[in-house]
Amino acid sequence: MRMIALGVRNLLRNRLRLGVVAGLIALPFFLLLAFQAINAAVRQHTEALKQGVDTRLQLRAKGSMGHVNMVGSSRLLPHDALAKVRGIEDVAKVEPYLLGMSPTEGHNFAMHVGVNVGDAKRLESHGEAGHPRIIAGRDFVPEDAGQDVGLIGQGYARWAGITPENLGTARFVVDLTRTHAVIFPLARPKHELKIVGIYASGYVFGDLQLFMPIETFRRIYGVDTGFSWLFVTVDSVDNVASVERRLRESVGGVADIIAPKAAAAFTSTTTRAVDRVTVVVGFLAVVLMMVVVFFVMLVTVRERAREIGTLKAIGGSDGGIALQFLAEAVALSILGGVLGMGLFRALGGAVAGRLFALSMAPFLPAQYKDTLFDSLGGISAGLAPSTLGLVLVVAVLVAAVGSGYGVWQVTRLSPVEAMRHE
Amino acid sequence: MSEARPVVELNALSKHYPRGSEVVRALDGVDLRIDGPGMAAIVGPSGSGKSTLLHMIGAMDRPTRGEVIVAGQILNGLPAKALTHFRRRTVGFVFQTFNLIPNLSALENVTLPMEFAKVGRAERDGRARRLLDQVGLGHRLTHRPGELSGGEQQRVAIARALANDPPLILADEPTGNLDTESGQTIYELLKAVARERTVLVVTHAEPLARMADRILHLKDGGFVRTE
Repeated sequence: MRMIALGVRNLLRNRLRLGVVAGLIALPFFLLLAFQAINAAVRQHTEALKQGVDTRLQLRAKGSMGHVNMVGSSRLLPHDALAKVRGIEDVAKVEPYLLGMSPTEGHNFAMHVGVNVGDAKRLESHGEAGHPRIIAGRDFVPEDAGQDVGLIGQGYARWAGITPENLGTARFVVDLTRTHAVIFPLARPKHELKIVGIYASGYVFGDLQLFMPIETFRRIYGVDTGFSWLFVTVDSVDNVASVERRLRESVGGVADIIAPKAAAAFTSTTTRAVDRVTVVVGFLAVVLMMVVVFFVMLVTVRERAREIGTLKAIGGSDGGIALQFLAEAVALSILGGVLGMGLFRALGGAVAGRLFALSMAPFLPAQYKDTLFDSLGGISAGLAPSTLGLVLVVAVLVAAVGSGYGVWQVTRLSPVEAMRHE
Repeated sequence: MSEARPVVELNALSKHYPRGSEVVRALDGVDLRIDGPGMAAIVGPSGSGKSTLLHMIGAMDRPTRGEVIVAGQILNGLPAKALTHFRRRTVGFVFQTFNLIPNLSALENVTLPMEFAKVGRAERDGRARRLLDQVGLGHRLTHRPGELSGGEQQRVAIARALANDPPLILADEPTGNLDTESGQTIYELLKAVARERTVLVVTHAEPLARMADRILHLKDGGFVRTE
């Protein structure tokens, strides 16, 4: 205790040295904290980007579009495919679709889509169309399941003479005996639907669709089993590839599986790039902090070799001297660490953006550069106490090793050699 | 009646060390016997081995050959821990460049050897104050070395050397960095110290050497004359 007290007392007596060395330790400590915070922000940003990535796979009968009355493309997915797909790990949601076609005029045709009333109403395979937006009436409600109701696109509504004004009384008749070059007739009775809403999609073909409850579709088209499409939503972009692999193992024999290209691209480029950059930068920041702290402590001990020699000459034991210098090193590194944390709290946000721009941004995909740069201003509050504590413990240990190594180098010498040591 | 035990006894003491491809013979077969109390001065030209001799006697360095016996203790072969204890209790060292700990006050510098010797706080404080009083620095207790003149620093160093009441004081060119007036004060202090214990001083300063009870002339690693 006596030597520890001596070390701490010695440290506090030389405020200039204390300030310089604590500052030298604080700087890499600050950089490490800033890079840890930037890494955390980058990962958070990645998670946010993942939410926007399409993780939906589409399944349809092998070699078929699955339109129940389309010439040459009417084969459906087997009915048990739904249960098989739902049983696959990491699958968040499965949405079954049934599709049929109806001639409109000339060479055009509209699409009839049967969906579960709570599921998304996607516009048939045309990326140009937006999501349906109800412009008159209402969307489906749970009570519509199995009912003779429909939600019609504004183009198809115009063809059928349905307007927002007559929506309450208008009826739509599905006539499956009508034909077209690619549509074969189905000997099914005409069926009348009550149209509950009109939607707009922003695209002409998207507006030529009619959604109805899937049970209603089965009744109208006489399709008791099977599905045209299954939309499979995966819980995370990271699991899309594995779910696709398991889908191929499970239903690949009967289904074509269309995987989202964006998910694959995100996984193969963005996620990997972010992982690589954050790991490298995090590692370099830790190494920088360890190297700087180690050598600062080593140098501060070795430049006091003469003092160590004197202490030995007047009766100080090697162990006692080592203890004194270790106490100084630990106190200095704690002080440097606290100073670094203070700097981080005060300047972390201001410096993080520049650090990010100089170090990580050139190696990250474009979607990180501007949006993330703007969000880095508020990172200083982002580090968990456990991270701060861990970094401080590492700094203290490295300081102790650096100081201990320096003391060992000098104390193993005779007092005279120590005093001459450089 | 048995003969009194000498404070310092050297038998065929040699210290050789390499310098490049050559071997420097700093001390070569030195024999010496010093009885206490009193002051002995070692004089000789630069490089004659004076400081090396002092370092061997003070267990500050190990000899290449020969025997070093101080206050009845044979230093050869003593483990590091025993040598530390020897430096703490048996010798007090006064350096040419004072070698005070810069961050500690005069009082703390003097108490330091007693802290190493685990002397209680009250006792070491009292003893340190008395010693600093004796060297005329009772009014400078809280001053740090940087706030003291060279002569004052050397007086603190003498007080520190006396802290654990050792039988032998070794002084290596104690006035080498001082002006004449300060040097004179140090001579007188060392002479006073030598009344109760043995002081072995290495010096170039003729006046200090003349104050010694015995003058040993060293040249090329060996004694050539004793006065």
